[in-house]
Amino acid sequence: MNEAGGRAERLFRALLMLYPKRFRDAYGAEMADVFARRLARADGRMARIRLACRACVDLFSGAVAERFAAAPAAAAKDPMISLLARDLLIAGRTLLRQPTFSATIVFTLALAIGATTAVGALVDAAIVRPLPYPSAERLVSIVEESPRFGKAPFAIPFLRDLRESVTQYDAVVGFTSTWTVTVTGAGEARSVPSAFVSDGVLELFGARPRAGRLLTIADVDAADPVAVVSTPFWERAFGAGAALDGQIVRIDDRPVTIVGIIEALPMPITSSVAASNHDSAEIWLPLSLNPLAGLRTIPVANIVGRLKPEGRIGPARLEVATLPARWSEIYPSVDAAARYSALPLSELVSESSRRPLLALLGAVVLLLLIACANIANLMLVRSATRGSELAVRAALGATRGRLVLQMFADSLVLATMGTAFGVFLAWLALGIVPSLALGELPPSSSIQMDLRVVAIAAGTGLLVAMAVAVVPVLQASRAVIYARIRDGARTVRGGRVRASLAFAEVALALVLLISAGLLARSFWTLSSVDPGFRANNLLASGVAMPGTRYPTADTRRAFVGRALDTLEALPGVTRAAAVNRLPLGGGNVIVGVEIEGQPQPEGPVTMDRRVVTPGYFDTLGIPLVAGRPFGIEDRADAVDRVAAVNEAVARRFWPEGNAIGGRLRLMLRGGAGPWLRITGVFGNVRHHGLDQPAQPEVYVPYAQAAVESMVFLTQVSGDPVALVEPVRQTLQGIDPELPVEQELPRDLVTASMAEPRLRALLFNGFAFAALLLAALGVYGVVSHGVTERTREIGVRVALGATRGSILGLVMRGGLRTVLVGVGGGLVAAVLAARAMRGLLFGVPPFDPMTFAVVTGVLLFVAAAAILVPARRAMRLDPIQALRTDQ
Amino acid sequence: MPRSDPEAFLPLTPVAFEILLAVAAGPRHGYDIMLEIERRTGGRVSLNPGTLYRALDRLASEGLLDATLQPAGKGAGDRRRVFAISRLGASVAQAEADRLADQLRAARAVRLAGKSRP
Repeated sequence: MNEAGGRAERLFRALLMLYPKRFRDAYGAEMADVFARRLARADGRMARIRLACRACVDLFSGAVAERFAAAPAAAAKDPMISLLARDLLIAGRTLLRQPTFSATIVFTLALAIGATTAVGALVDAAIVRPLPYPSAERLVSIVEESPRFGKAPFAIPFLRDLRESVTQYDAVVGFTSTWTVTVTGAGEARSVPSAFVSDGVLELFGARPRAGRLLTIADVDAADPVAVVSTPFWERAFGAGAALDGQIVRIDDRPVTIVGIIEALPMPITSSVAASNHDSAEIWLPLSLNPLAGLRTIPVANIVGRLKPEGRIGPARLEVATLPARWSEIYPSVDAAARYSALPLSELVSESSRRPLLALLGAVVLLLLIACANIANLMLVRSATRGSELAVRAALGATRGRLVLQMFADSLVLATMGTAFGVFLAWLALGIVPSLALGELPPSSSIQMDLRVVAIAAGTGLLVAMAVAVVPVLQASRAVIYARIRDGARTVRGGRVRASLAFAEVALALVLLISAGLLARSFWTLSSVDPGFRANNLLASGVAMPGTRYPTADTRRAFVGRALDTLEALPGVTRAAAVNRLPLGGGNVIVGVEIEGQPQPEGPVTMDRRVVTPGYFDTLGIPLVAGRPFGIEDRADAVDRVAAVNEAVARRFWPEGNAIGGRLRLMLRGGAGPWLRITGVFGNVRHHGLDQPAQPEVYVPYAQAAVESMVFLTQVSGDPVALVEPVRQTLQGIDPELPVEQELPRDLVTASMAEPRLRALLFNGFAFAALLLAALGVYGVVSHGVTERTREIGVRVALGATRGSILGLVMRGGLRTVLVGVGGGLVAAVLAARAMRGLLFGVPPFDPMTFAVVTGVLLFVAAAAILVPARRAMRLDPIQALRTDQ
Repeated sequence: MPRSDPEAFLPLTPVAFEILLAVAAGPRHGYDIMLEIERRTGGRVSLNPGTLYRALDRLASEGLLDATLQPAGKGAGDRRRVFAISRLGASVAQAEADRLADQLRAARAVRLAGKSRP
């Protein structure tokens, strides 16, 4: 509510800029204050929105009136301004006399400009605007370009090596993406997102301590661990007023002294691996405290460097490119063929949102063009009817320049009104955008109604005014010539221009429609993808067992075993199982795997490792393809260590179908693990997203690999929401200090489709508007043509033409325009589809089905639009028709 | 530029008349004027900031209101304007009231208005 109020006030202030300076200086601040107070007094959200709408419309029309009132005074000084002011006044009055005409144009424009402005603001926030960090343009991310994981981070110990090896930077820092830690000793036990950071990270991203200090190099090896926390965390844990005084909390059961408080600090996501986990951290711990800090095999540290002021990205890139060869001689975990790269941080963080946003921008620009063509068409029809007026003015001595100025004033007034309304629509649209996940926007990119956005809208509006004016202006000047050459020129013919505008509209609409069709098909394909498991009746409850209280595998096994027994006994629960990482939940654990008898010369293959309890496959409905599921015989002390794999692994390494009995071993923290015998092959599960192919996967029984964090899955007969509380109470009944994090797997499935769904929805909305506008355009052209040819048609009928032949005549003429438009549109659509390839899923860019169906729909709608005037022509009474002087 | 004959200003716009009524009892600043109008009309007339300040500006430039800058409390910058009715403003408002009273009498004469309604 406050935020909406804030947005309304910003909009109000922006609109104030439209007033003459004198007025603004005298009253601006007071008006904004009055508005803010009234807004604060309004009761309820709807009342506030109504109030804001009324006040802003009032403010805008007041501004126009003030400007007009100020114009005569200015006019006395400057004859050019006086002319323009008069033209604007005349235009305003003329347009008010044709309210339907004007309203149609303003509304069409407002929709198009509003959409363009909203998308423009998103593009501005995500791509154009610099990141909210000091010296953001010098920040560079150092990554490993991995063929499988995209941009991968580094193992923590390599930070030191990097710092020693690179020369182009004045700072190099490392940090993990957010980890969930358990905080006790400050109120109720809680899971808190936290980040492990090297010294210098907080300074680099512009954090300033509100109290205390930031982390220093001395904290890295300090005997007593320290942490910096966010203001919200501090206030929750100790109360808003509490002073920082060496407070100690237990983080993952280890005492940690809080040494500083900072405001929330959004940190960039710099690697593809961590992208699914981006809660803002509330606690910052020294990197050395990370449990993986000593391992060179597990990459978790994102590396960011700040180039020296004179540093260049080119040399910085070359420098890191040589590192793998050097390091591979020292460290066995480094592959000499690996590719390290340095990328500007701004490019990296907008990477995921860049493509969808640019596609969206393309779509709204198309829509805007169609709207312009449509309005130009309307203006043209009007200028044709005003032809005689213009001719008279020309005859009375108006120069061509004067007439052109008059036409431009018309479109300027319309565009101004359309822009103002469009800004308002954009403001509404931007209010809901953050709640829709449109790709990942960069951290704290604030999308708001500010002067930049209004400037985008105003620029678009001005362009539109000029574009729309061009055609009637040309016509107007021709009117002068006609008037001079021929007496009695009755109408101004713009048939060919109008037809080509209609042609352009059809072509552009087809491009949008085909793009939208492809995205819609992508979404359908995606929503019919089988995720490989049944999510509907499941509830997931995650726990992390801190190493200090569950020091041994036995203690953890005991907890998990007891928890499963108790959960299965709950009324309504049909099955229970546990897994270390949820499907589609992100944070997959990737391990190197060696397969017996199949040496991999390019280094070990990697697979996702999932640790599961025996009931896991049944609970999720993952089908057994071969062998047997895990059972109680797969105990911790069993001599025979076992594993299961998914079909992707079985097909790749045992193509003859003899995976059962094969052996593999995992590369774990301490080196190669024991050999595991494969006892089962299971169906593929799309763990990484519905649009990602299933990855190779290895399952091991929990009894033989008791990891610290597990997610309990309970299958229920009814709605899993009903079991949220009972399950939480059950788990905390066993250990009250364990925080439980719950979610519904079915939400994960839905979330994985949210972005494509939104994309398809937006595109189809735009395409629908485009179709409507194009149909209107075609209708307008044909209808006007029929009016102009009334007499001709009358003659034809009088001479014996049948009604059918008249209908055919008009239909043929109209369809010719449409078909030419379709031809042009298909060519352009092929280009557009190729550019959109990356956004499609399971649909080829040149999907013949989509192209055919969409073209058919467009032809059908266009034919319907032509049929209306064609029927009018067919029914013309020849006697009446011959009497008209048209 | 300001005219001096009260009759020359008639008829007043409803907004202008409301504002003159609101400041008749004493000087007020913009927000107070808005509240007073809402109070007097029982919320039927509620002016938006744009309309309000444009009318205030016009009335002040025509000499019907005197605007003075006074130190403000929180919020509206350092100072804000306080509007007081001028002598001319008072006579214009009176002339408008007389005009309306004439109209009301005429309406009553043809039974278009009740006697007791305020």
